[in-house]
Amino acid sequence: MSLEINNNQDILGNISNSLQEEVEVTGEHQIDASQLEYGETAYEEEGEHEHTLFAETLFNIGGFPVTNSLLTSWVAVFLIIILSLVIRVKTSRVPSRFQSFIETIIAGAYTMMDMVTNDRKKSEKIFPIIFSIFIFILINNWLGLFPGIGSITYNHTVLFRGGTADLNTTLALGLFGVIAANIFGIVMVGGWQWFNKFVNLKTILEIPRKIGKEPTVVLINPINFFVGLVEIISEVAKVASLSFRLFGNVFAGEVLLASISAMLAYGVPLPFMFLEIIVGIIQALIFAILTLVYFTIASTEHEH
Amino acid sequence: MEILELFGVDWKLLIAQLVNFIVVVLVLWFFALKPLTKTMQKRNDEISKGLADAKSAQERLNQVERDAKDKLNKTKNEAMVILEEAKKQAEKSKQENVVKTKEEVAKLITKAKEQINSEKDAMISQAKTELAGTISLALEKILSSQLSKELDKKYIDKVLKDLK
Repeated sequence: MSLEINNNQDILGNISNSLQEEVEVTGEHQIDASQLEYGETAYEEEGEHEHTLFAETLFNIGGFPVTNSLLTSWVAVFLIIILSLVIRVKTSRVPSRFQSFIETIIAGAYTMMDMVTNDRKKSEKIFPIIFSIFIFILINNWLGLFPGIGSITYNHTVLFRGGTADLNTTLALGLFGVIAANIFGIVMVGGWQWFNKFVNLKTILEIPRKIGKEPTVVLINPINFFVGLVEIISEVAKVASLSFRLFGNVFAGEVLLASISAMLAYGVPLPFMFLEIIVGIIQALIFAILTLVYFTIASTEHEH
Repeated sequence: MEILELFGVDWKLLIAQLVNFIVVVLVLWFFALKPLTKTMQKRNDEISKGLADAKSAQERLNQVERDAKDKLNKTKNEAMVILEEAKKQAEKSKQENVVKTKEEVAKLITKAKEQINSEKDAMISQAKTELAGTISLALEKILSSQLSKELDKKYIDKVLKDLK
């Protein structure tokens, strides 16, 4: 268990080394140092597994590292495919109880989206992406919480780790969300409008035309231009905030549950388990709604 | 990008997760959400259409009921009129019949009376002649010798006068 803590420190030190090499290096050379620092706890919690910031590689397929988080995500994708097929088969004009339940969720999601977009047509266009984000994150969050899932190990590493407890997943989702929002913006308001949101050539070109009427444009429009440049940074910030928020919450939840379980494994973790189930929903919802907001902002015409 | 490496960001994994997510989007959209939303939309349309149909059907039913009532009332009135007329006609023809019968009866009576009278007269005259003959015969037999012809005639006339 102490290997991974050393890993972290090591990665900070040796950025260029790959993960695999480090495991070997730390395993051989730094085991003494680690046992000095963490040795006691390491022996006490023999069964428990240490939580690392990154997902651990289970095995490689032709140079492609399959991590425990990726495996969980595959399980999540599999579950979603099964669910979709069940819905597909069960869909009929006279709804069953199951279909009514799904329809209630979908209708609720539409209502919620309409509150943000104020436009049913726009909601209908974005709906599949936003809803998929919600479902994918929710399933991933909850899979990581599955009781006892952390105790299944493979080659001394945990076999399943919540898909969203890995920055790769959240970063992929965040990048996808923000890039898709911008593409949606281009489609909805046009390329020139979209481009001017970031590199505001319009305001610069406006100056000679308006300078006769309002001399203040000489001051205001360059400011607008720089505001546009700041927007570029804000897009990057969106990706960062989305991915780190989700990752941080889910990872913290898993660490919390593990810590509580380590203290007293019976009864005490239960309220925390419920808490994490709720956090799972809330974080999925926040991610989906923020992405929706980005879509909406990107698709709205800029007024100046 | 030191921080990304600290969190174990690997482009291969990132792309793998992106592929996962895109698979989720496609599968969810084409297998679940699209048919489901279509079905929901269809059903909503059907329900609203059904409600509209029910409303129009109710209106039509009301209209038909009103029409039927109107027709029934009209027919009733017509029947009443016809009945009234028939009654009047019956009354009239009855009275006519009575008058006609009375007249006929009166005619018959007068006719009968006339016949009786004429028969009576004939009978009387016949009786008179028969009687006169009989009497004269009887008288002749009784008084054949006793009375003269002249006296005899005188007597007979007197008797006949008295008879009259």
